[in-house]
Amino acid sequence: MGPNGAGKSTLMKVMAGERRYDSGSVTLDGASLSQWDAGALARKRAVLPQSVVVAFPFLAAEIVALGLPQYFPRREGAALAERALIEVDMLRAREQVYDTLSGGERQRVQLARVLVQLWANGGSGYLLLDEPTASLDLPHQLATLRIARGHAAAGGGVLAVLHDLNLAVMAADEIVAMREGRVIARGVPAEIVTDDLIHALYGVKARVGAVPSGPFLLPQSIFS
Amino acid sequence: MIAGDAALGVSWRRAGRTRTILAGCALLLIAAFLASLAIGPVVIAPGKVVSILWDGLFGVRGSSSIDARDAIVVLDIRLPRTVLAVIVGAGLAVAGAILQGVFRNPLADPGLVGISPGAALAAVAWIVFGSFAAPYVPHFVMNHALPVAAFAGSLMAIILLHRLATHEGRTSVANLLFAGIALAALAGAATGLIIFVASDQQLREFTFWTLGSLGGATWQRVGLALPFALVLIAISFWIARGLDVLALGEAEAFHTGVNVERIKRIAIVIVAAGVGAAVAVSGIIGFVGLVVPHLLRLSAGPSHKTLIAGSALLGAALLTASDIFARTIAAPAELPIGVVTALIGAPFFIWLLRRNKRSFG
Repeated sequence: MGPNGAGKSTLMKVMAGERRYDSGSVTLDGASLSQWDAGALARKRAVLPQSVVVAFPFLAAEIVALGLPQYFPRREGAALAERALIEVDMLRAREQVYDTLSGGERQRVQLARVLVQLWANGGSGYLLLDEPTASLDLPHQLATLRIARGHAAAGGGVLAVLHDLNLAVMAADEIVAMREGRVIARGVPAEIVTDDLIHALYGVKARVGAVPSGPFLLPQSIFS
Repeated sequence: MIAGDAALGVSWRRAGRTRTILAGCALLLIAAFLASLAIGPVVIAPGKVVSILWDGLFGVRGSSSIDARDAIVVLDIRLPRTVLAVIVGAGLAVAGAILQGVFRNPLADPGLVGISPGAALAAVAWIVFGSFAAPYVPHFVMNHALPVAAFAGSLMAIILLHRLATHEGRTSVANLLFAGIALAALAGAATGLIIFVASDQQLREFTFWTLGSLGGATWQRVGLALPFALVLIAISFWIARGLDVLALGEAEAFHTGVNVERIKRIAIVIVAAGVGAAVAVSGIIGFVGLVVPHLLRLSAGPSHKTLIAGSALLGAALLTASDIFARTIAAPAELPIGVVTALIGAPFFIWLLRRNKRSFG
């Protein structure tokens, strides 16, 4: 988490192998990312960008199937695609043209595509999500984070950029707080999310509470 | 919806329709092919055409004088021209489909964005200035250098277009069309200049290069264009799936495991080969590469595998039919075939622009 322009998406792009970095090193399984080619990386991780514009009128189900490796068995692939569409609650829209869907629906179709990519490659890869909940309504925000938690529970790894701090502390095992391109704090949510951190990150005076079970934030406390 | 449908997730309805459409395109091509052999100053019945073709396949020609005349008309005059129309039409339509996939934009037509004009410029330059090299180059090489020169010209035009129109993996329509128009105008002007200073002997008319014609079709020209068109079509099937994924965006295609740079490089080279060969044997024929892939995307869906197969069939059918029209409407004079394709294509292009006013920004 961190304010706009903190470098969260940039960091994610570097970790995805999409963007070159000027200094430091990024490794995956002990090998520098520059030694991985596109195909090998795709078997280890899947990436959900903030929004995807599709050039031609593909159907939602066809978009999801694009997450499959090139020579994946057809029937098995179709079954995976269907499972993913059910997972993101988009099965009813599978024969609709992607462009005609709403922003939130498109995001869920893309999530299904990314899930299919992970599942087709063994299911234990890394899932990189850049603001996966940004255009979703409340139940689908929760559903998306439940899917992410489920992937982590099944042995995969999840890295997500989240702006909703309450969702972030609820879903994350570990939080990395970034500001102006630097990590200023990282650790277990209950320990690092404090009034001071929120102020240091956003310049907002908010009170972090911990009433139900774990830390939570009352944005309204700004006005009191 | 049947249960089996749902179990397979991916649309079977579209798959079934796709097969029907491809079969329809193949039938259209067969019909256009036979019509092209049958229609002309001497009209020969389609059944007769088929039997002449069948006999011709075994080197047999009719014995009576009328049969012999018909066989000459069909096999020696109309067949090379028709086969050339099939090759050029298929090549241009598939080149358009691939080009649109790479630029992620349905408006990229080889003619509109300056690639065919680039090929024509290089071909004309070779015809005029290549003659200086003639004394030093074997005759065989000279004969086959024209499509290679056109290929080099179209390759340079695509690379320039890509440099000018694409920024950080994104191609805006405005940039694509502006850069394309500038390239087309520049190549056209340079072609005009070279033809103007060249002697008549060195070149056929300016209209051949700017509006295209299949008038000079010979088996030798068929032989020049065929390998390039076959390479284009065969390799485009190989990159079809990569182009599908590329529709998600370059970064997303990379995330999914596609080697984007390699796909783009292959696509650029094969499009240049297809367009170069088409231009070398028939001049600039516009709009085939725009209209055909678009009709197929509308009807059979955007998946590149069916798009390429359908474009090859429908492009060949469309150009064959256009050529029948071009050579019969004002007979014995011939209309440049580019006039016919532009008459079909330009209104279609305007309709496309209006229809997609919002979404192409």
